[in-house]
Order: sequence, then structure tokens, then C-alpha cells
Amino acid sequence: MTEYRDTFPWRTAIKEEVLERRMPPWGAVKGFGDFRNDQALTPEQIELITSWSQGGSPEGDAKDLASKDKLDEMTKESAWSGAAPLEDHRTGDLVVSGDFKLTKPFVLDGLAPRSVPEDDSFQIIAEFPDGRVEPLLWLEGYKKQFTHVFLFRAPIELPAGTTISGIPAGSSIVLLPAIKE
Amino acid sequence: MRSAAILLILALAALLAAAQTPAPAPLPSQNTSDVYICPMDPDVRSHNPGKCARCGMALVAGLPDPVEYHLDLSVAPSPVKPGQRASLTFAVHDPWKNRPVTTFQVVHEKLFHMFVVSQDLQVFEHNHPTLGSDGLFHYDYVFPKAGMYRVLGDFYPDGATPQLIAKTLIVPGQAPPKPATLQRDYAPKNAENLTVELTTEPAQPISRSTTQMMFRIKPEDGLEKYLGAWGHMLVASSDLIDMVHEHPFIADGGPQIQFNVTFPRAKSYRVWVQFQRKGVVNTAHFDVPVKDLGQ
Repeated sequence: MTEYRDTFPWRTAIKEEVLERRMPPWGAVKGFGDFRNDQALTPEQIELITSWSQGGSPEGDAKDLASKDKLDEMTKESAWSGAAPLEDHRTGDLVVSGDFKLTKPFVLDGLAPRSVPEDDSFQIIAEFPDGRVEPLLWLEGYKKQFTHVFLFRAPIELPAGTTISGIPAGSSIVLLPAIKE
Repeated sequence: MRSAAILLILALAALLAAAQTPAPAPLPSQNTSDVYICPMDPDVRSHNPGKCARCGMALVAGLPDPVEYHLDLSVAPSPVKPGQRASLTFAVHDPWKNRPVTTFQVVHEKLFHMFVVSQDLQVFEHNHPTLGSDGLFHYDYVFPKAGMYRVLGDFYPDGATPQLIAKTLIVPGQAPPKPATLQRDYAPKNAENLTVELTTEPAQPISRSTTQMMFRIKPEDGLEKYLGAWGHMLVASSDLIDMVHEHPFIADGGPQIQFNVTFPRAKSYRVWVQFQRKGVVNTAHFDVPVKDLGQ
């Protein structure tokens, strides 16, 4: 859908999906963990779409449209267009369910939901041996289309004795190790 | 799902580039193609440079795409302990090459606005970290209790668009319970030197639709702009997922101040408002249950 006339009929649905955070299908609460492949919209982007939808959904000036190259670039590496991580396990992946205490150091590159009940919500945190608590991932109203990797902006070094907690017993999450250079 | 997702992103791209505004006010008939836009309120436009009539920010000629910058929050000592002074440091990096960003535009008289809200919604802080010679923003704060805090940074990097970025900080220890659904609380609030009354239109706010929030201030005299605006509002859902920062939609220095808010979901929200009267900043909060249409 690249044309205004195709988009206009969807203006209300777009607003509602964006405000409910079902679209884009990212699935994590923004600001709880910091991800390099973050696909969630910013508050400004959400407000812009909302204002556009509620304000008559005007057509913009064609000269301001992004080029086709730019649109192709935007869709190329999105979380929903090919990042299928669960078939691409790395050596050293850990599958965690319930609270899990690391017996040796682990450099955490990301997390991937493996089995999460529909509509489930929970916060995953790392409790360090020195008492620090690091927010890792907050899944909210989980949907199967959120089954993609969540890759941290920078790998997190977890010493032995760190507890990963917050994952309900009925769910499992894959801890992805950083790839050694 | 993928096609729907692509629909969204393409629509978004088109919108961001081509339609910065809902129903903009008619422009004065001048023979110029220059349009000056408020970075905070993109529907406020003019053919001439100047300031936004709504929020006071300088109008800029065109706006760049609203790209999100990175905001890193660190705290010392770590782990932070409740009741002890902690040094918060905010570092901003660009989203392209992760280069440090050290030059910022003033937003409402400050370079950086910080909001802190605790998970039980009892703690609310709006303050202003200062930019150090190291290019980082610093602020000392005492977290009064253990638990999760959402920390919002509101800032405006040079050459970008205003940013509102949430971070999460967890103070170890026995956390207070998370609030249950908030009950409606529109009762007038006595703040430092004024009383605030709230009415909404519609009376029962509906998710994903505009709610007009009308505040009436008593006594009526002595109202002043606070940080460049007639009022400030922070809206937080009881689960701390939605965080919205608003400024008045209609205000002229009189006792009636209107904010327009779109509550994203059918949840309960706590709404903090700040008004200044005779040099004193007043903070009050109201609780607003929001329903879906037909609920």
C-alpha cells in the first residue's frame, strides 16, 4: 500500500492498531530494555498518526513523499519481514522457563520468545549478584506475531550467579548469547 | 499480518513526509512557499517565523522526519538504594552512528525535562537535569522507595525533532504493590496556592478518541506561564505503559485551561497537571478511568 487513496479507507483502523500497540507488531513495552531492532513507534509518531486520523486524514504534498528506495530500505530489515530467529539458534542458546540462575557467565545479546501463551504479559529482569536489577524485556498482551528476536543495543554481561526472573512457568524464552568476533 | 504491517509502515512514511498536520489553520495569503511549523504542535503553522501561540516554542521552517534518538540512563551508586541520593546521568546518541549528541534546543525554557513516576503512582517528579561540560545531563535524586520507576526524558536535539523517551529503573528491595484499577477521582484538588477543578467532555472518556479535559483554577488571579506554557500535563496509565506529555490546547491566562488528550487504551489513567500562580508551582492529580466505545 503506497498510495494515499489506498491508505485513506484504513485511517481509523491504522489509528486504533497503533494506539493499542498491535501495530507495528513489536510486542514489547518501550523503554524496558533497549533494543537495536526496536520497531515500536515513538510517542511523537503515534501522536502524528493519531492527529492525522482524527484531523480529517489530509493528503500531503507529493513532493514530500519518501522515495521508493527509502521505502524499500524501511521495509527491508523490519522485525516482521524476515527476522525469523527461532530457526537460527546460536551455539550456547539457553532456554529458560521460570526463574533461572546462571552457573557461569553469559554475555546476553538478546531474547526470543519460544513459547508464550496468547495475551500473556510479564516483565523479565536480571538480578545481579551485587544487587543490581536490570530490566530486560516487558511483553504485554503477547501475540504469536510477536515471535521474533529482541536484540539488545549492546550485549549485557551477566556474571555467574545472576538470576533471570519474571518468566512464568508456562512460558519459555531463549537467551541468545553474543556472537564472538 | 505482514501485509498489514507493510500497510502501516508505508502509510506512516507517507504521513510523516507528507502530512505533518491535522486540518491546519488557513494560512495567510502571502506569496511565499515558506511554512513555519511548531516542532511540538505540528498543526500550528505560519508563513512567518515566530513563536507557537499554543506552547511558545519557536516555529521552524519545515521539520525533519521524527527519528528516535538513543537515550542512555545510568545511575550511581549502583545498585541504587531507596532513600539515598543517587546521581542520574543521561547520555544522548544519534540513531545512525551512535555518536554522542551534545547540542540541544531549548524546550519550554529548559534543555531537558525529566519525569519520574513510581509503579504505585505515588511518586511524581518533574525536574530538569543540567547539561555538563561532558555533554551529559546530570541530576541528583532520592528514590523514596524500592520498585520500578519509569523515567521520561523530554529533549530536543539540534537538527532533529523533539524526543520523549521512556526508560525504566528498578530500585532493588521490597516494592510497593502495583495499583489496582484506579477509581474515578475528579474531586477538586487543593494544591499549593490554588484549587483545580476538572470536567471532561465526554464525561466518560473513550479510548482512542479525543477527550477534552477542562480545568478551572480558583482563585482566578495571578496565573502565570510555567516553563513557557499555561500548564503541563503528564498522563500515565496505571500499568505505566502509556506515558503522554501534553500542553494546553486552549489557554489565555484565564482560569479555564483545556487540554485535549487521546487516551490510547481502555485503562485507568493518572493525570498530573502543573500550573503556576504568583510564582508558586502547583501540582495536582486526577484519576480517569477510560472505557472502550460501547463498554
